[in-house]
Amino acid sequence: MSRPSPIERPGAAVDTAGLAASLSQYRGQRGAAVPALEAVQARYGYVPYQALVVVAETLGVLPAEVFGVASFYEEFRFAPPGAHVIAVCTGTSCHLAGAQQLLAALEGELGIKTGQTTADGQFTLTQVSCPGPCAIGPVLMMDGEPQARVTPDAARRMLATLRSARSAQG
Amino acid sequence: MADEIAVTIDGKPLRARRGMTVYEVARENNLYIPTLCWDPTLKPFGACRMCLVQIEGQRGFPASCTTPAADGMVIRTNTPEVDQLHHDNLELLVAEHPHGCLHCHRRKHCGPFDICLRDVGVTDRCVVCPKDKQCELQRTCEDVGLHLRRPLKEDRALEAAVWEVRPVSLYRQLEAERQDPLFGRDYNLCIVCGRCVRACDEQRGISCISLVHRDRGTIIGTAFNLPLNQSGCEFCGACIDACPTGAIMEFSAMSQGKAERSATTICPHCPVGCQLRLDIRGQEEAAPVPGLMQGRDRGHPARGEDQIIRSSPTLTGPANMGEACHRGKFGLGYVSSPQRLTRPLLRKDGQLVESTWFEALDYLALELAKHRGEAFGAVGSARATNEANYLLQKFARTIMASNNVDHPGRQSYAALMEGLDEALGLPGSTNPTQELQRAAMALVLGADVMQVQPVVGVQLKRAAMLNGAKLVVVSPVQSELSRYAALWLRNRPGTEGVVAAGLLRAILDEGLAGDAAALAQRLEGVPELLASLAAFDAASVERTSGVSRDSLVQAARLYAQSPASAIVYCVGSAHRSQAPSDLQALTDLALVTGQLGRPSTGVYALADLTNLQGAYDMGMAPDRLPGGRAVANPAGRFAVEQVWGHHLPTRPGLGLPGMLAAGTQGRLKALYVLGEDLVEEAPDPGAVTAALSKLSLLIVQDSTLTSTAKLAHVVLPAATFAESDGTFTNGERRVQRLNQVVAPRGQSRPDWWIICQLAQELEGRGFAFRHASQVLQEIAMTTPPYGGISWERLEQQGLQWPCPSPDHPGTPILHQGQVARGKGKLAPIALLTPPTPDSRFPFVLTTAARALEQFQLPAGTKWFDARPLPEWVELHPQDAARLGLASDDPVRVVSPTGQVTARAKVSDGISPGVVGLTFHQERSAARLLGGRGATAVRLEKATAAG
Repeated sequence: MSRPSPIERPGAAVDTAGLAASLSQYRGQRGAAVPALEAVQARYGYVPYQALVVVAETLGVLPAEVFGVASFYEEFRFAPPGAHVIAVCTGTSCHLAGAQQLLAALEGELGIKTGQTTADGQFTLTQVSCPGPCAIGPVLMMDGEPQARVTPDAARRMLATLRSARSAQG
Repeated sequence: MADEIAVTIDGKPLRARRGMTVYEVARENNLYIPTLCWDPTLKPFGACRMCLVQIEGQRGFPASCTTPAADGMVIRTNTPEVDQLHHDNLELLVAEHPHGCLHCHRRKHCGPFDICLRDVGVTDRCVVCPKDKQCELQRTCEDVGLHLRRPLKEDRALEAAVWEVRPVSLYRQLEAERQDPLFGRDYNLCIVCGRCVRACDEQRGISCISLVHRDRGTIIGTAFNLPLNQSGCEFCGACIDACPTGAIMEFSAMSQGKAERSATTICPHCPVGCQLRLDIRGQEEAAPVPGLMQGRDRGHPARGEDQIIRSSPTLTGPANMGEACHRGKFGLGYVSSPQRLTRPLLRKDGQLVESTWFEALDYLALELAKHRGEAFGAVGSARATNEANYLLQKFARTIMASNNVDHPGRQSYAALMEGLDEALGLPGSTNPTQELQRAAMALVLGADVMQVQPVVGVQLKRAAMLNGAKLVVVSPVQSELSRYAALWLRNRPGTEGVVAAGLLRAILDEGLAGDAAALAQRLEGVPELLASLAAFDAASVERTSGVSRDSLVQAARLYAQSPASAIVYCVGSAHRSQAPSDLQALTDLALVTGQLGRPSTGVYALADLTNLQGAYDMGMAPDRLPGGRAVANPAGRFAVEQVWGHHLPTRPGLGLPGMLAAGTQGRLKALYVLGEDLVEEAPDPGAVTAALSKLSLLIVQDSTLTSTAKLAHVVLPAATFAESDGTFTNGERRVQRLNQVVAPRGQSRPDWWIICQLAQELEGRGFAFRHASQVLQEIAMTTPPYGGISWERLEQQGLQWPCPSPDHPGTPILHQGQVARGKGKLAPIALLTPPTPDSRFPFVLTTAARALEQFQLPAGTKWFDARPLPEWVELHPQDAARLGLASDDPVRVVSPTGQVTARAKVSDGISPGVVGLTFHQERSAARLLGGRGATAVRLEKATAAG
């Protein structure tokens, strides 16, 4: 296991006062880290360092404690996500249905590891532990939308479509 | 007894108390159960699964550290199943730790350069680990008998051994964290027992590290893995002391091997008086003080010479009970600093040259004889022992016949103590600091406790964390403690006294302390107090201090109505002059509400210099003899004359400012300065230099060549705290024994020894002491509260004065039952006017909350010597915008008395119109404040940081 280096240095544009105000309902509640972090992620799409500091100040703890909670959950990201977030289900059913092969194919196609974002900022590849529709596995969540029975080839086609749509736009 | 239960462990019938865990019972009875995550100061955690046992009638193998012992329990710790479990769990724990050596039968015989015939990579071996031979994991592996059939990570170990040299730091493929100050972390050695995280959280209330990435490979880290000094870390080192492996280590202890011996003594850095265990490298047992000619004479610590490699707080220290702070943990390096003076220096032809004790003492005997009487002055030190201060003032008063004795920190502290003496009848803080953690409420004012006396700050945090105590923090700036405060009253700098008066008034107005008639029955001075309070109605208090009426009333109720409320006044640099009058108002508060004379109540005056209380008690003052007797009082003088067998001068002498003035005018000819750097600590170094330069004889006794010492005619090399026996009296009046743990470096000698030699050279009687304990014996004779204190009685725990007789147990809590003077005496409120900004000096100056990366440590601490600390000045964004300043800009802070250069830090943690300075250096305080209290300043843009 390699230790994630400081993923996001202090200095990201976080409107601390506004964020603090929006988190005021959690003031002084040491146990409210998860809902506060969810609010942060909803606001910025990820958890920037400065926002984590605001959460810590709101709860009355130091940032490390909040980070300990945040880093437990796959859901929280510490770097800005790409334009498209691809989450491959690695739950039991999807695993048996070939999720690992799917993940490997996507990693190869995108040239990144799971958890990373492509250099052009287009794709973030993550895994998720069972969003529920086990009957139609392997499942892939494309920007939050479940896609059924995604084979490696289907995934490649999906990426190609998204890429061509982008080049058509730009 | 109902609380006693009977359990059987491994067939042994044992008695235990209800509430103990099975592990605690076994431990108390010296029965071994392996543990790795258990720590005496922490709550049971049950993470390492090493302490599993079998309990008859219970399913499975419960962890003994989390299982409460019950009456009739039958426990087995050494059945084959349990042994196998211990072994297998240990195997899992070491799987991610370099373990080739942990199961090697030859480990103890292995040297760093030995060729290993097993498959252990050179850099994966225990001998290269900083914790080798003092490692709890090693010990546990031995005790459990770890036996691995093959290395757990065969491929990597082989690869390392055969193909390449892999640093041990790559075992988990984590990089070692070496960028932090003072200590390093290498999580490849971590077994994730969580002790450091729990120590940081439970013990210290910080939580700057946490278990992170608990989904994949759990490890310890800060938020975003940022360096510690950006994480809120206070560098107390509790995590280091908790770690069972080499994952967290002081830089000073790395590659030092096992300490050859350890010894306990008292930390020299503040008036908490923490007991520390010092681990020492070097074979020598501390020898008694050597004579004139002995002592190795080397300037630098040579190989094999005693060196303190690690310091850790002891659990049994009465004032700290397992706590220390960055200063006690890391600030002792100056003992072996290359800057230490090792021989007496004598000025010859304008140059200070190395000399011998014989020559220096001979010279001094001749010279001092010319300056007896009021031409002589002596400056003691609140950093020196009771014995040194006692002997110095005795030397000045008897042999030199002069009452010109003082020390730089005296004036403000003496005023504090005299205030307490006047109101209550005894000059000392009323209760032990350890009691603070059991207080129901604490009113905390003045400077940031976490900076001045961090260990007391921890007590306050614990009170809030463990007992839900209500902390009311009165402070202009946000601090670590305000995170724990039930109420943070954000006052303007310098208005603590106004807030205190406002609280008094609120308590009386709300009827929380009975009416005036009832008060007058208990207390003196009621009408005068009431009259003086007339000016402090809520509206005017709010106007002056900025604290609203509502919060004032809320705080007043909390203070008056809680079952045990304590007042903690922290005297920082900026509070010195206002502290006495503030403390009087606060003492009134305690008297009026009766929050006094019971556990966890009372008034705590926390100061910053180690032995201020001792120096006060020893009569290190121009107008007071030992025991607080006034010089001008014939009866008191007579009592001391009886013991000393010497007539004493009757006129009070000059204080330090007076002595310096007399030096400038040529009336004072000779000055003996012990352990203080008068030049650097002065508001106006130039004036002090001028005064000292005019003296015919300046003697400086110090451990390094300070700016003052450079002006001296004779410099006497003094031993440091670790090299001399003696006593300190801490802020809670506890007299504690300082033990000589290493031999004095070179020809440096303990202060008391030097004074005795000098006195005998001048043919003085009454200085034939052969050990500090004999000096203490005489102190007991001349200083009534110390009457029952002796060297032997202080061995373990120290004693809190008053301790008038040898069978007296000491007095932890003053004023129990009734106030010492009979009836408490209220002082009318008479406050200094808080500083008001004007057009020339538009900002009020306060002490900034500690910027995270900045800590005060004494010179000689290697890490900081290499990186001198800049001062930071904190200001509000509005003010910064107006002045065109941004964070990091160099700024000159100018006050009416002086100026310092600092870097700007723009922050909304501070009010507009207020600026906070970090005061890293004593001389910054001196220059800006000029010995007065809070002040107004202006900020100027500087071109370059100085």
